[in-house]
Amino acid sequence: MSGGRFEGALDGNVLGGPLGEAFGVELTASRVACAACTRVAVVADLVVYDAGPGWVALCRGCGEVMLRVARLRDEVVLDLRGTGLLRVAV
Amino acid sequence: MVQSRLGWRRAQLVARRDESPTAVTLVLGVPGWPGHLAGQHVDVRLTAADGYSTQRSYSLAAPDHGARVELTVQVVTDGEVSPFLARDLAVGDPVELRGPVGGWFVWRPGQPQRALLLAGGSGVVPLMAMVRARHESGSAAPMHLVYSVRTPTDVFYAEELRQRSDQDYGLRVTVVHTREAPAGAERAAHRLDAADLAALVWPEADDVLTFVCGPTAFVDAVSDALVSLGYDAGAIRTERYG
Amino acid sequence: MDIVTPGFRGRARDSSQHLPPGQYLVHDFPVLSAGPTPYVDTDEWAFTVTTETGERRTWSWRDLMALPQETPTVDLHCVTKWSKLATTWRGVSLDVLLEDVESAADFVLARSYGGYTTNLPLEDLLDGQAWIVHEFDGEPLAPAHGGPARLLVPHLYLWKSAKWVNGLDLLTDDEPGFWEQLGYHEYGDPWREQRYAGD
Repeated sequence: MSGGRFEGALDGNVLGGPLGEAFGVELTASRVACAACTRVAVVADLVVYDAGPGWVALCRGCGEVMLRVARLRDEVVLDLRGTGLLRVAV
Repeated sequence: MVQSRLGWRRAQLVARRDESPTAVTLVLGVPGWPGHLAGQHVDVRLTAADGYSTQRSYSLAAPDHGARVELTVQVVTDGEVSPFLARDLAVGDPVELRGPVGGWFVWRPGQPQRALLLAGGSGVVPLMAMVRARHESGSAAPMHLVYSVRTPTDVFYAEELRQRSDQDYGLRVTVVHTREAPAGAERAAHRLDAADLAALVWPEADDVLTFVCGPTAFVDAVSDALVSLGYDAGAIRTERYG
Repeated sequence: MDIVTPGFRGRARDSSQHLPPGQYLVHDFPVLSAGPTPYVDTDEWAFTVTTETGERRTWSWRDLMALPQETPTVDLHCVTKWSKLATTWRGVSLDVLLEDVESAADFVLARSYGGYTTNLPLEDLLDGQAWIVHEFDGEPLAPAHGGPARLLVPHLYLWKSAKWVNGLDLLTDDEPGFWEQLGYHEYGDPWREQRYAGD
Protein backbone atom coordinates (compact mmCIF):
# COMPACT_ATOMS: atom_id res chain seq x y z
CA MET A 1 0.00 0.00 0.00
CA SER A 2 1.32 3.44 -0.81
CA GLY A 3 0.32 6.85 0.41
CA GLY A 4 -0.18 9.83 -1.85
CA ARG A 5 0.54 7.99 -5.05
CA PHE A 6 -3.10 7.25 -5.72
CA GLU A 7 -4.61 10.32 -4.12
CA GLY A 8 -8.29 10.72 -4.72
CA ALA A 9 -8.69 7.15 -5.93
CA LEU A 10 -11.38 4.78 -4.74
CA ASP A 11 -10.90 1.05 -4.38
CA GLY A 12 -12.39 -2.12 -5.79
CA ASN A 13 -15.32 -2.04 -3.38
CA VAL A 14 -17.04 0.30 -5.86
CA LEU A 15 -16.81 -2.38 -8.57
CA GLY A 16 -19.05 -4.64 -6.51
CA GLY A 17 -22.15 -3.14 -8.09
CA PRO A 18 -21.21 -3.35 -11.81
CA LEU A 19 -19.35 -6.68 -11.48
CA GLY A 20 -22.25 -8.10 -9.51
CA GLU A 21 -24.56 -6.98 -12.30
CA ALA A 22 -22.39 -8.61 -14.94
CA PHE A 23 -21.68 -11.92 -13.21
CA GLY A 24 -24.60 -12.27 -10.84
CA VAL A 25 -22.25 -12.99 -7.96
CA GLU A 26 -20.26 -10.87 -5.55
CA LEU A 27 -16.68 -10.54 -6.78
CA THR A 28 -14.98 -8.04 -4.48
CA ALA A 29 -13.56 -10.88 -2.35
CA SER A 30 -12.16 -12.70 -5.38
CA ARG A 31 -8.44 -12.61 -6.07
CA VAL A 32 -6.81 -11.25 -9.22
CA ALA A 33 -3.20 -11.38 -10.37
CA CYS A 34 -1.63 -8.43 -12.17
CA ALA A 35 -0.58 -9.45 -15.69
CA ALA A 36 2.31 -6.99 -15.54
CA CYS A 37 3.89 -7.71 -12.14
CA THR A 38 2.02 -10.86 -10.91
CA ARG A 39 1.07 -9.22 -7.61
CA VAL A 40 -2.09 -10.87 -6.26
CA ALA A 41 -4.83 -8.80 -4.60
CA VAL A 42 -8.49 -9.07 -3.78
CA VAL A 43 -10.64 -7.06 -6.16
CA ALA A 44 -11.69 -4.86 -3.22
CA ASP A 45 -8.10 -3.68 -2.87
CA LEU A 46 -7.55 -2.52 -6.47
CA VAL A 47 -6.96 1.20 -7.04
CA VAL A 48 -10.07 2.40 -8.86
CA TYR A 49 -10.89 5.59 -10.74
CA ASP A 50 -14.42 6.47 -11.75
CA ALA A 51 -13.83 8.10 -15.13
CA GLY A 52 -17.43 8.64 -16.13
CA PRO A 53 -17.69 6.33 -19.14
CA GLY A 54 -16.46 3.58 -16.85
CA TRP A 55 -14.07 2.52 -14.13
CA VAL A 56 -10.36 1.83 -14.37
CA ALA A 57 -8.67 -0.46 -11.85
CA LEU A 58 -4.92 -0.27 -11.32
CA CYS A 59 -2.52 -2.65 -9.59
CA ARG A 60 -1.67 -1.15 -6.21
CA GLY A 61 1.85 -2.51 -6.56
CA CYS A 62 2.99 -1.40 -10.02
CA GLY A 63 0.25 1.03 -11.12
CA GLU A 64 -0.52 -0.75 -14.37
CA VAL A 65 -4.12 -1.00 -15.58
CA MET A 66 -5.55 -4.37 -14.54
CA LEU A 67 -9.18 -3.96 -15.39
CA ARG A 68 -11.48 -1.58 -17.26
CA VAL A 69 -15.24 -1.71 -16.80
CA ALA A 70 -17.66 0.19 -19.03
CA ARG A 71 -21.37 0.37 -18.33
CA LEU A 72 -23.02 0.67 -21.74
CA ARG A 73 -26.74 0.83 -22.44
CA ASP A 74 -27.52 -2.86 -21.95
CA GLU A 75 -24.12 -4.34 -21.31
CA VAL A 76 -21.27 -4.28 -18.86
CA VAL A 77 -18.04 -4.55 -20.85
CA LEU A 78 -14.87 -5.75 -19.16
CA ASP A 79 -11.32 -5.46 -20.46
CA LEU A 80 -9.43 -8.06 -18.46
CA ARG A 81 -6.16 -7.94 -20.42
CA GLY A 82 -4.29 -6.51 -17.45
CA THR A 83 -5.44 -9.37 -15.23
CA GLY A 84 -3.55 -12.65 -15.31
CA LEU A 85 -5.82 -14.82 -13.20
CA LEU A 86 -9.19 -14.36 -11.55
CA ARG A 87 -9.87 -16.72 -8.65
CA VAL A 88 -13.46 -16.97 -7.49
CA ALA A 89 -14.26 -18.91 -4.31
CA VAL A 90 -17.37 -21.06 -4.74
CA MET B 1 -21.62 -17.05 0.68
CA VAL B 2 -23.01 -13.59 0.26
CA GLN B 3 -24.42 -12.82 -3.17
CA SER B 4 -24.99 -9.37 -4.54
CA ARG B 5 -28.33 -8.79 -6.15
CA LEU B 6 -28.82 -7.59 -9.69
CA GLY B 7 -31.96 -5.54 -9.62
CA TRP B 8 -33.22 -2.27 -8.28
CA ARG B 9 -35.78 -2.51 -5.52
CA ARG B 10 -38.30 0.02 -4.38
CA ALA B 11 -37.59 1.38 -0.91
CA GLN B 12 -39.43 4.01 1.03
CA LEU B 13 -38.49 6.32 3.83
CA VAL B 14 -39.88 5.19 7.16
CA ALA B 15 -38.09 7.59 9.50
CA ARG B 16 -35.05 9.84 9.77
CA ARG B 17 -32.97 10.97 12.71
CA ASP B 18 -30.12 13.42 13.08
CA GLU B 19 -26.72 11.99 13.93
CA SER B 20 -24.77 15.25 13.92
CA PRO B 21 -25.30 18.79 12.61
CA THR B 22 -24.45 17.50 9.12
CA ALA B 23 -25.47 13.85 9.10
CA VAL B 24 -28.81 12.11 9.06
CA THR B 25 -29.77 8.45 9.40
CA LEU B 26 -32.49 7.29 7.07
CA VAL B 27 -34.56 4.25 7.97
CA LEU B 28 -35.87 2.67 4.79
CA GLY B 29 -38.46 -0.04 4.36
CA VAL B 30 -37.41 -2.42 1.58
CA PRO B 31 -39.93 -5.18 0.86
CA GLY B 32 -38.17 -8.41 -0.04
CA TRP B 33 -34.77 -7.27 1.22
CA PRO B 34 -32.52 -10.36 1.08
CA GLY B 35 -30.55 -9.50 4.19
CA HIS B 36 -26.99 -8.27 4.50
CA LEU B 37 -23.79 -8.35 6.54
CA ALA B 38 -22.20 -5.54 8.50
CA GLY B 39 -19.79 -3.65 6.23
CA GLN B 40 -21.80 -3.95 3.03
CA HIS B 41 -23.22 -1.04 1.09
CA VAL B 42 -26.10 -0.26 -1.23
CA ASP B 43 -26.49 1.79 -4.37
CA VAL B 44 -29.30 4.35 -4.19
CA ARG B 45 -30.89 5.69 -7.36
CA LEU B 46 -33.02 8.81 -7.56
CA THR B 47 -35.04 9.73 -10.64
CA ALA B 48 -36.52 13.17 -11.25
CA ALA B 49 -39.85 13.78 -12.94
CA ASP B 50 -38.15 14.58 -16.28
CA GLY B 51 -36.37 11.23 -16.30
CA TYR B 52 -33.00 12.46 -15.13
CA SER B 53 -31.46 9.98 -12.70
CA THR B 54 -28.32 9.66 -10.64
CA GLN B 55 -26.87 7.14 -8.20
CA ARG B 56 -24.78 7.15 -5.07
CA SER B 57 -23.42 4.41 -2.83
CA TYR B 58 -24.06 4.40 0.92
CA SER B 59 -22.85 2.01 3.58
CA LEU B 60 -25.45 0.19 5.62
CA ALA B 61 -25.35 1.58 9.16
CA ALA B 62 -27.24 -1.19 10.91
CA PRO B 63 -27.05 -4.98 10.79
CA ASP B 64 -29.66 -7.19 9.15
CA HIS B 65 -33.09 -6.35 10.50
CA GLY B 66 -35.20 -7.96 7.80
CA ALA B 67 -36.97 -5.51 5.51
CA ARG B 68 -35.71 -2.41 7.26
CA VAL B 69 -32.30 -0.92 6.46
CA GLU B 70 -30.49 2.15 7.74
CA LEU B 71 -28.16 4.50 5.94
CA THR B 72 -26.33 7.44 7.50
CA VAL B 73 -25.91 10.24 4.97
CA GLN B 74 -23.27 12.92 5.45
CA VAL B 75 -24.47 16.13 3.84
CA VAL B 76 -22.04 17.42 1.23
CA THR B 77 -22.35 21.20 0.83
CA ASP B 78 -23.96 21.93 -2.55
CA GLY B 79 -24.18 18.21 -3.15
CA GLU B 80 -26.68 16.93 -5.63
CA VAL B 81 -28.06 14.04 -3.61
CA SER B 82 -27.08 14.18 0.06
CA PRO B 83 -28.89 17.42 0.97
CA PHE B 84 -32.03 16.06 -0.67
CA LEU B 85 -31.86 12.72 1.13
CA ALA B 86 -31.01 14.32 4.46
CA ARG B 87 -33.69 16.99 4.46
CA ASP B 88 -36.20 16.81 1.65
CA LEU B 89 -37.09 13.16 1.09
CA ALA B 90 -40.47 12.76 2.78
CA VAL B 91 -41.63 9.82 4.86
CA GLY B 92 -43.41 7.46 2.49
CA ASP B 93 -41.56 8.64 -0.61
CA PRO B 94 -39.74 6.05 -2.72
CA VAL B 95 -36.15 5.67 -3.84
CA GLU B 96 -34.54 2.72 -5.56
CA LEU B 97 -31.98 0.53 -3.86
CA ARG B 98 -29.61 -2.10 -5.23
CA GLY B 99 -27.62 -4.53 -3.16
CA PRO B 100 -26.29 -5.47 -0.72
CA VAL B 101 -22.88 -5.07 -2.30
CA GLY B 102 -19.57 -6.24 -0.93
CA GLY B 103 -18.09 -9.49 0.29
CA TRP B 104 -14.65 -8.48 1.44
CA PHE B 105 -15.25 -5.52 3.70
CA VAL B 106 -17.60 -7.48 5.98
CA TRP B 107 -17.56 -8.56 9.60
CA ARG B 108 -19.36 -11.77 10.49
CA PRO B 109 -20.47 -12.63 14.02
CA GLY B 110 -18.60 -15.76 14.96
CA GLN B 111 -15.36 -14.46 13.50
CA PRO B 112 -12.90 -15.46 16.22
CA GLN B 113 -10.30 -12.80 15.54
CA ARG B 114 -9.99 -9.57 17.41
CA ALA B 115 -11.37 -6.74 15.27
CA LEU B 116 -9.65 -3.37 14.94
CA LEU B 117 -11.87 -0.77 13.31
CA LEU B 118 -10.47 2.57 12.14
CA ALA B 119 -12.95 5.22 11.04
CA GLY B 120 -12.14 8.52 9.34
CA GLY B 121 -15.17 10.81 9.63
CA SER B 122 -18.16 9.39 7.80
CA GLY B 123 -16.17 6.17 7.33
CA VAL B 124 -17.60 5.20 10.72
CA VAL B 125 -20.90 4.16 9.14
CA PRO B 126 -20.08 0.58 8.05
CA LEU B 127 -17.96 0.14 11.18
CA MET B 128 -20.94 1.12 13.33
CA ALA B 129 -22.87 -1.62 11.59
CA MET B 130 -20.13 -3.98 12.80
CA VAL B 131 -20.31 -2.67 16.39
CA ARG B 132 -24.07 -3.12 16.33
CA ALA B 133 -23.86 -6.56 14.74
CA ARG B 134 -21.39 -7.65 17.39
CA HIS B 135 -23.72 -6.40 20.12
CA GLU B 136 -26.75 -8.15 18.66
CA SER B 137 -24.91 -11.42 18.22
CA GLY B 138 -23.55 -11.44 21.77
CA SER B 139 -20.03 -11.94 20.44
CA ALA B 140 -17.29 -11.60 23.04
CA ALA B 141 -14.45 -11.34 20.52
CA PRO B 142 -12.55 -8.14 21.34
CA MET B 143 -13.32 -5.16 19.12
CA HIS B 144 -11.67 -1.74 19.21
CA LEU B 145 -13.13 1.16 17.26
CA VAL B 146 -10.76 4.09 16.76
CA TYR B 147 -12.87 6.92 15.41
CA SER B 148 -11.19 10.01 13.99
CA VAL B 149 -13.33 13.18 13.80
CA ARG B 150 -12.58 16.86 13.35
CA THR B 151 -14.44 18.19 16.38
CA PRO B 152 -16.60 16.71 19.15
CA THR B 153 -19.82 17.80 17.37
CA ASP B 154 -18.90 15.70 14.34
CA VAL B 155 -19.29 12.39 16.17
CA PHE B 156 -22.08 10.20 14.80
CA TYR B 157 -23.91 7.83 17.17
CA ALA B 158 -22.27 9.53 20.17
CA GLU B 159 -24.73 8.40 22.81
CA GLU B 160 -25.04 4.90 21.45
CA LEU B 161 -21.26 4.49 21.27
CA ARG B 162 -20.98 5.51 24.91
CA GLN B 163 -23.62 2.92 25.86
CA ARG B 164 -22.05 0.19 23.77
CA SER B 165 -18.59 0.72 25.20
CA ASP B 166 -19.99 0.78 28.75
CA GLN B 167 -22.15 -2.29 28.34
CA ASP B 168 -20.56 -4.55 25.73
CA TYR B 169 -17.86 -6.77 27.14
CA GLY B 170 -14.71 -6.61 25.04
CA LEU B 171 -15.67 -3.46 23.10
CA ARG B 172 -13.49 -0.39 23.33
CA VAL B 173 -14.23 2.91 21.59
CA THR B 174 -11.62 5.65 21.24
CA VAL B 175 -12.53 8.97 19.66
CA VAL B 176 -9.61 10.99 18.30
CA HIS B 177 -10.00 14.66 17.40
CA THR B 178 -8.08 16.21 14.53
CA ARG B 179 -9.10 19.90 14.59
CA GLU B 180 -10.60 20.66 17.98
CA ALA B 181 -10.41 18.51 21.08
CA PRO B 182 -12.87 18.64 23.99
CA ALA B 183 -11.99 20.91 26.90
CA GLY B 184 -9.51 19.25 29.24
CA ALA B 185 -8.56 16.54 26.75
CA GLU B 186 -5.18 14.93 27.28
CA ARG B 187 -4.47 14.63 23.59
CA ALA B 188 -4.25 17.89 21.65
CA ALA B 189 -6.14 17.90 18.37
CA HIS B 190 -4.05 16.69 15.45
CA ARG B 191 -4.35 14.21 12.63
CA LEU B 192 -4.23 10.56 13.66
CA ASP B 193 -0.62 9.51 13.23
CA ALA B 194 1.65 6.51 13.64
CA ALA B 195 2.48 7.46 17.24
CA ASP B 196 -1.23 7.57 18.14
CA LEU B 197 -1.75 4.18 16.55
CA ALA B 198 1.26 2.66 18.29
CA ALA B 199 -0.25 3.74 21.62
CA LEU B 200 -3.79 2.63 20.79
CA VAL B 201 -3.74 -0.60 18.85
CA TRP B 202 -2.93 -4.13 19.94
CA PRO B 203 0.80 -4.68 19.68
CA GLU B 204 0.54 -8.35 18.79
CA ALA B 205 -1.07 -8.25 15.39
CA ASP B 206 -1.29 -11.94 14.54
CA ASP B 207 -4.94 -12.66 15.07
CA VAL B 208 -6.32 -9.19 14.39
CA LEU B 209 -8.65 -8.46 11.49
CA THR B 210 -8.51 -4.77 10.68
CA PHE B 211 -11.08 -2.62 8.88
CA VAL B 212 -10.22 0.93 7.79
CA CYS B 213 -12.84 3.18 6.23
CA GLY B 214 -12.93 6.85 5.31
CA PRO B 215 -11.37 9.31 2.86
CA THR B 216 -8.65 7.84 0.67
CA ALA B 217 -5.85 9.85 2.29
CA PHE B 218 -6.90 8.63 5.76
CA VAL B 219 -7.18 5.00 4.69
CA ASP B 220 -3.83 5.01 2.89
CA ALA B 221 -1.99 6.72 5.75
CA VAL B 222 -3.49 4.51 8.46
CA SER B 223 -2.89 1.30 6.51
CA ASP B 224 0.75 2.22 5.91
CA ALA B 225 1.21 3.07 9.60
CA LEU B 226 -0.27 -0.26 10.71
CA VAL B 227 1.97 -2.20 8.36
CA SER B 228 4.96 -0.38 9.78
CA LEU B 229 3.78 -1.49 13.26
CA GLY B 230 3.90 -5.11 12.17
CA TYR B 231 0.36 -5.64 10.98
CA ASP B 232 -0.07 -8.02 8.05
CA ALA B 233 -1.24 -6.03 5.02
CA GLY B 234 -3.33 -9.00 3.93
CA ALA B 235 -5.39 -8.79 7.14
CA ILE B 236 -6.19 -5.10 6.68
CA ARG B 237 -9.44 -4.53 4.82
CA THR B 238 -10.11 -1.09 3.44
CA GLU B 239 -12.96 0.93 2.02
CA ARG B 240 -12.16 4.31 0.52
CA TYR B 241 -14.65 7.11 0.08
CA GLY B 242 -12.44 9.09 -2.32
CA MET C 1 -39.42 1.93 -15.68
CA ASP C 2 -37.52 3.88 -13.05
CA ILE C 3 -39.40 4.94 -9.94
CA VAL C 4 -39.63 8.71 -9.63
CA THR C 5 -38.77 10.20 -6.23
CA PRO C 6 -41.13 13.15 -5.68
CA GLY C 7 -39.33 16.41 -5.12
CA PHE C 8 -35.95 15.20 -6.38
CA ARG C 9 -34.60 17.67 -8.88
CA GLY C 10 -30.90 16.82 -9.10
CA ARG C 11 -28.12 19.12 -10.21
CA ALA C 12 -29.30 22.44 -11.53
CA ARG C 13 -30.54 21.68 -15.00
CA ASP C 14 -31.89 24.02 -17.61
CA SER C 15 -34.13 22.65 -20.34
CA SER C 16 -34.54 25.97 -22.14
CA GLN C 17 -31.27 25.59 -24.06
CA HIS C 18 -31.12 23.50 -27.19
CA LEU C 19 -28.96 20.55 -26.21
CA PRO C 20 -28.04 17.31 -27.95
CA PRO C 21 -30.43 14.46 -27.18
CA GLY C 22 -30.18 13.04 -23.65
CA GLN C 23 -27.98 15.82 -22.30
CA TYR C 24 -28.48 18.01 -19.24
CA LEU C 25 -27.04 21.47 -18.86
CA VAL C 26 -24.78 22.05 -15.84
CA HIS C 27 -23.01 25.09 -14.48
CA ASP C 28 -20.17 23.42 -12.62
CA PHE C 29 -17.35 21.52 -14.30
CA PRO C 30 -17.20 17.88 -13.22
CA VAL C 31 -13.75 16.30 -12.95
CA LEU C 32 -13.58 12.73 -14.21
CA SER C 33 -10.34 10.86 -14.82
CA ALA C 34 -9.32 7.40 -15.93
CA GLY C 35 -6.26 7.36 -13.73
CA PRO C 36 -3.97 9.41 -11.50
CA THR C 37 -3.58 13.03 -12.57
CA PRO C 38 -0.24 13.41 -14.31
CA TYR C 39 1.74 16.44 -13.18
CA VAL C 40 3.84 17.51 -16.15
CA ASP C 41 6.28 20.39 -15.96
CA THR C 42 6.08 22.68 -18.96
CA ASP C 43 9.91 22.45 -19.12
CA GLU C 44 9.51 18.78 -19.93
CA TRP C 45 6.26 18.98 -21.89
CA ALA C 46 6.40 17.87 -25.52
CA PHE C 47 3.80 17.29 -28.19
CA THR C 48 4.69 14.94 -31.04
CA VAL C 49 2.85 14.29 -34.30
CA THR C 50 3.88 11.00 -35.88
CA THR C 51 2.76 10.40 -39.47
CA GLU C 52 1.82 7.09 -41.05
CA THR C 53 5.33 6.91 -42.53
CA GLY C 54 6.97 7.30 -39.14
CA GLU C 55 8.00 10.94 -39.57
CA ARG C 56 7.83 12.91 -36.35
CA ARG C 57 7.50 16.55 -35.49
CA THR C 58 7.79 17.68 -31.91
CA TRP C 59 6.86 20.94 -30.25
CA SER C 60 8.12 22.09 -26.88
CA TRP C 61 6.04 24.30 -24.59
CA ARG C 62 7.94 27.32 -25.85
CA ASP C 63 7.21 26.27 -29.43
CA LEU C 64 3.52 25.96 -28.62
CA MET C 65 3.38 29.38 -27.00
CA ALA C 66 5.12 30.97 -30.00
CA LEU C 67 2.43 29.81 -32.40
CA PRO C 68 -0.64 31.92 -33.23
CA GLN C 69 -3.13 31.59 -30.36
CA GLU C 70 -6.90 31.50 -30.58
CA THR C 71 -9.56 31.90 -27.92
CA PRO C 72 -12.42 29.62 -28.89
CA THR C 73 -15.73 29.69 -27.02
CA VAL C 74 -17.34 26.27 -27.27
CA ASP C 75 -19.97 23.98 -25.82
CA LEU C 76 -18.91 20.73 -24.13
CA HIS C 77 -20.96 17.53 -24.16
CA CYS C 78 -19.90 14.64 -21.95
CA VAL C 79 -21.14 11.13 -22.65
CA THR C 80 -22.19 10.92 -18.99
CA LYS C 81 -24.93 13.35 -20.02
CA TRP C 82 -23.80 16.71 -18.73
CA SER C 83 -23.27 19.62 -21.07
CA LYS C 84 -21.57 22.91 -20.31
CA LEU C 85 -22.11 25.80 -22.69
CA ALA C 86 -19.96 28.71 -23.78
CA THR C 87 -16.71 27.58 -22.19
CA THR C 88 -13.72 29.75 -23.05
CA TRP C 89 -10.26 28.44 -23.87
CA ARG C 90 -6.96 29.60 -25.29
CA GLY C 91 -4.71 27.49 -27.48
CA VAL C 92 -3.37 26.60 -30.88
CA SER C 93 -5.51 25.38 -33.74
CA LEU C 94 -4.68 21.95 -35.14
CA ASP C 95 -4.81 23.62 -38.56
CA VAL C 96 -1.69 25.53 -37.53
CA LEU C 97 0.06 22.53 -35.99
CA LEU C 98 -0.65 20.23 -38.91
CA GLU C 99 -0.07 22.83 -41.61
CA ASP C 100 3.35 21.56 -42.66
CA VAL C 101 2.79 17.91 -41.86
CA GLU C 102 2.66 15.75 -44.96
CA SER C 103 0.25 12.90 -44.58
CA ALA C 104 -2.25 10.81 -46.48
CA ALA C 105 -3.67 9.40 -43.28
CA ASP C 106 -7.39 9.47 -42.59
CA PHE C 107 -7.33 8.67 -38.89
CA VAL C 108 -5.74 9.88 -35.70
CA LEU C 109 -4.97 8.26 -32.38
CA ALA C 110 -4.49 10.95 -29.75
CA ARG C 111 -2.17 9.99 -26.90
CA SER C 112 -1.81 11.44 -23.43
CA TYR C 113 0.59 11.47 -20.52
CA GLY C 114 -0.59 8.60 -18.32
CA GLY C 115 -1.48 6.34 -21.25
CA TYR C 116 -4.96 7.47 -22.27
CA THR C 117 -5.82 7.28 -25.97
CA THR C 118 -8.76 8.17 -28.17
CA ASN C 119 -9.32 7.93 -31.91
CA LEU C 120 -11.10 10.11 -34.47
CA PRO C 121 -10.94 10.95 -38.20
CA LEU C 122 -8.12 13.35 -39.11
CA GLU C 123 -10.52 15.64 -40.94
CA ASP C 124 -12.35 16.25 -37.64
CA LEU C 125 -9.24 17.95 -36.29
CA LEU C 126 -9.08 20.41 -39.19
CA ASP C 127 -10.99 23.42 -40.50
CA GLY C 128 -11.24 25.19 -37.19
CA GLN C 129 -12.74 22.23 -35.35
CA ALA C 130 -9.94 21.47 -32.85
CA TRP C 131 -7.22 22.99 -30.69
CA ILE C 132 -4.47 22.13 -28.27
CA VAL C 133 -5.60 24.32 -25.39
CA HIS C 134 -3.66 25.44 -22.32
CA GLU C 135 -5.96 28.01 -20.71
CA PHE C 136 -9.51 27.64 -19.49
CA ASP C 137 -11.66 30.56 -18.42
CA GLY C 138 -8.68 32.90 -18.55
CA GLU C 139 -6.44 30.82 -16.26
CA PRO C 140 -3.75 28.22 -16.99
CA LEU C 141 -5.46 24.87 -17.44
CA ALA C 142 -5.46 23.00 -14.13
CA PRO C 143 -4.01 19.46 -14.04
CA ALA C 144 -7.35 18.03 -12.92
CA HIS C 145 -8.91 19.37 -16.12
CA GLY C 146 -6.12 18.16 -18.37
CA GLY C 147 -3.39 20.74 -17.88
CA PRO C 148 -0.84 21.80 -18.93
CA ALA C 149 -2.54 21.13 -22.28
CA ARG C 150 -5.38 19.06 -23.63
CA LEU C 151 -6.98 18.37 -26.95
CA LEU C 152 -10.26 20.16 -27.52
CA VAL C 153 -12.63 18.78 -30.18
CA PRO C 154 -15.98 20.14 -29.06
CA HIS C 155 -18.14 18.82 -31.88
CA LEU C 156 -17.58 15.31 -30.52
CA TYR C 157 -18.29 13.91 -27.04
CA LEU C 158 -15.80 15.15 -24.50
CA TRP C 159 -13.96 11.83 -24.07
CA LYS C 160 -12.41 12.59 -27.48
CA SER C 161 -10.88 15.80 -26.08
CA ALA C 162 -7.95 13.97 -24.56
CA LYS C 163 -6.67 15.48 -21.30
CA TRP C 164 -2.89 15.72 -20.89
CA VAL C 165 -2.43 15.20 -24.63
CA ASN C 166 1.16 14.63 -25.70
CA GLY C 167 0.85 13.46 -29.27
CA LEU C 168 -1.09 12.41 -32.31
CA ASP C 169 -0.45 9.31 -34.38
CA LEU C 170 -1.69 9.77 -37.95
CA LEU C 171 -2.88 6.40 -39.19
CA THR C 172 -4.21 4.92 -42.43
CA ASP C 173 -6.40 2.52 -40.47
CA ASP C 174 -8.63 3.52 -37.60
CA GLU C 175 -7.41 2.21 -34.25
CA PRO C 176 -9.75 2.27 -31.27
CA GLY C 177 -8.64 4.18 -28.20
CA PHE C 178 -9.14 3.60 -24.49
CA TRP C 179 -12.94 3.78 -24.26
CA GLU C 180 -13.59 2.87 -27.89
CA GLN C 181 -12.02 -0.52 -27.16
CA LEU C 182 -14.73 -1.13 -24.58
CA GLY C 183 -17.61 -0.29 -26.85
CA TYR C 184 -17.84 3.48 -26.97
CA HIS C 185 -18.58 4.93 -30.39
CA GLU C 186 -15.70 5.29 -32.84
CA TYR C 187 -16.96 8.74 -33.89
CA GLY C 188 -19.08 10.16 -31.07
CA ASP C 189 -21.37 12.87 -32.51
CA PRO C 190 -23.52 14.14 -29.63
CA TRP C 191 -26.19 15.45 -32.02
CA ARG C 192 -26.74 11.94 -33.36
CA GLU C 193 -26.34 10.57 -29.81
CA GLN C 194 -23.48 8.30 -30.84
CA ARG C 195 -22.48 7.16 -27.35
CA TYR C 196 -21.86 3.45 -27.99
CA ALA C 197 -20.64 1.45 -30.99
CA GLY C 198 -23.55 0.76 -33.30
CA ASP C 199 -25.54 3.84 -32.29
